[in-house]
Amino acid sequence: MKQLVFKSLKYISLLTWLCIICLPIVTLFLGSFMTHEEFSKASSLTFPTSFFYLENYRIAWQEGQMLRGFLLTFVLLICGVFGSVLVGSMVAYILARFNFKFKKVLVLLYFIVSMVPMTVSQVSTFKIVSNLGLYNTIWAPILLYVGADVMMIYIYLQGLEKIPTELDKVAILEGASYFQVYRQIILPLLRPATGTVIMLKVISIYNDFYLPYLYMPSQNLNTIATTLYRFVGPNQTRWEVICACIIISMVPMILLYLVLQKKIYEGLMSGSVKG
Amino acid sequence: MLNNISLQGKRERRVIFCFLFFPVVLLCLFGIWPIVNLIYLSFTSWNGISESKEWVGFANYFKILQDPTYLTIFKTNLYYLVSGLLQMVVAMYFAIILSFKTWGQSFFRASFILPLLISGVAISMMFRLFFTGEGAFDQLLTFLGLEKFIGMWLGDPERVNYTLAGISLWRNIGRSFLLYLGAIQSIDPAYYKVAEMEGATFWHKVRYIILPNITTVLTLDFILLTIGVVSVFEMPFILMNGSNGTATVLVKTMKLAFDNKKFGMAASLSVLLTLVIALLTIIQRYVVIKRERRQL
Repeated sequence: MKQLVFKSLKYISLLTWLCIICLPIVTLFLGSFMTHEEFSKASSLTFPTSFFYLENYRIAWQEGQMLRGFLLTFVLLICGVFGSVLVGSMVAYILARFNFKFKKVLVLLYFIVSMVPMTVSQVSTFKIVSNLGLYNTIWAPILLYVGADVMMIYIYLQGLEKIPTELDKVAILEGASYFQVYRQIILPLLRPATGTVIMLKVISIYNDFYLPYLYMPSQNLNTIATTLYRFVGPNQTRWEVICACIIISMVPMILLYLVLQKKIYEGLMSGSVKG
Repeated sequence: MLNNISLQGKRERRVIFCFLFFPVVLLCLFGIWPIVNLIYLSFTSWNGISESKEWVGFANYFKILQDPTYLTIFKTNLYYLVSGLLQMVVAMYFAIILSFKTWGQSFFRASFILPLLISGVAISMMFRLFFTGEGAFDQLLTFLGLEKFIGMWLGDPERVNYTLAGISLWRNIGRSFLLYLGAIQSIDPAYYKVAEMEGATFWHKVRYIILPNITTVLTLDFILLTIGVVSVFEMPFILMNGSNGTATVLVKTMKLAFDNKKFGMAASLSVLLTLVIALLTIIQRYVVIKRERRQL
């Protein structure tokens, strides 16, 4: 009897939270299939007449220039992720394996930067970026994703701790160069850390609104986040189109998650963060 | 032999230089220099355009610390601290439940992580629709017989911060959930088996196996949470543009700099914000180290 009570409580709480998560999204989804009249008449949680009414999606896709937004976001993702992986693994390799004059200073500098959230220092970064002539170019966000966010170095340092130093010593004795050690031993063995870095970076870059908003005000340089933000302004009265726009912007990440679900959990369970 | 060692040293220097050159340039340019510059600007009354920057000493800081309007901004961030603590509790509850056998386990897990994958802009726009007058949320309240609570969820200054903090909970719970779930999953199942043989109840397992094993992740999550609370920005900025008393410290900083052209003041506020974060981090590190020593 007690078992049964517990069980039902468990499922009731799970379903309640599921509703809380899904309700706003479902509202959006239903609204995106309605005509303008339907939407203004309907009280939100009603079904549209037809789920084949795709006009809103067409308008959002074309007028919002979402394809362009997706392409630019994709470029930022590739460059940001690739740069972060490269910089993170190289710096971590040097810091973990070599001793040199200014090592302590460098570690301190990285620590200081990691303490100051990127958004906080933008007040002064802004001038530097524009002085370098990077304002309104895609290089501004890319270089900031790679250079100002240093969390990946800590993830890689953690990963390097697990790789025995004997491994690279033997390789050096066998005549390998340091580049070969990095490329052929360290980098492959750091794959779990790379997975974590890629996952975190993809989520943060795809969802980043602030840096593109601040540094790329040009109409031609809209990422998917700023596309959405700027599309809403002049279209306040056409909520059904905005709904479609939001839904489209969600699709890639959800698909990516579904495809990589297993891998994400494996990475998670393999103990990247052990209790 | 000697020749060999010096050759080794040369090769070492070369790889250090090659691997560090580009990253260190980036670090200095976009990491260190902005911070140094920020501290300098905080002592000036720069307007963001003029060439000359007038040195005003601690005047900006005094202004911020004496003006009560600035202090109320810090209070706005406290709403998010409360919602963050709530988030930790709820996430822990569901992480524990979903690490035991449950019908629809992976489906529930996926749906709890879902908000984490949606961008801040999309979430803001979604909730603007959700909380409009006679919108879905008001309908839900009517359905549940709670009509008397219906009100201006985003228009009422008394209420809007609660709404925003609630949205923040909705969004960030996935992060806590994922962290806790990972930690619980990495517990050796043998512990549970032994405990079951000893006749442990579900509660015993939670209390004596799960909780002690996830303290590190809890601390980590709390650190992330406090830093997040201090730098809340996206939701109040996109949804409300900082109006109606929703401006958090960071929103105010950005408004000061980019709308009011008071870069000096904004820089001082940023420095204060950073000091708060640094202080929190140091305290937490101290606590963690102390506890780890005790465990040894």
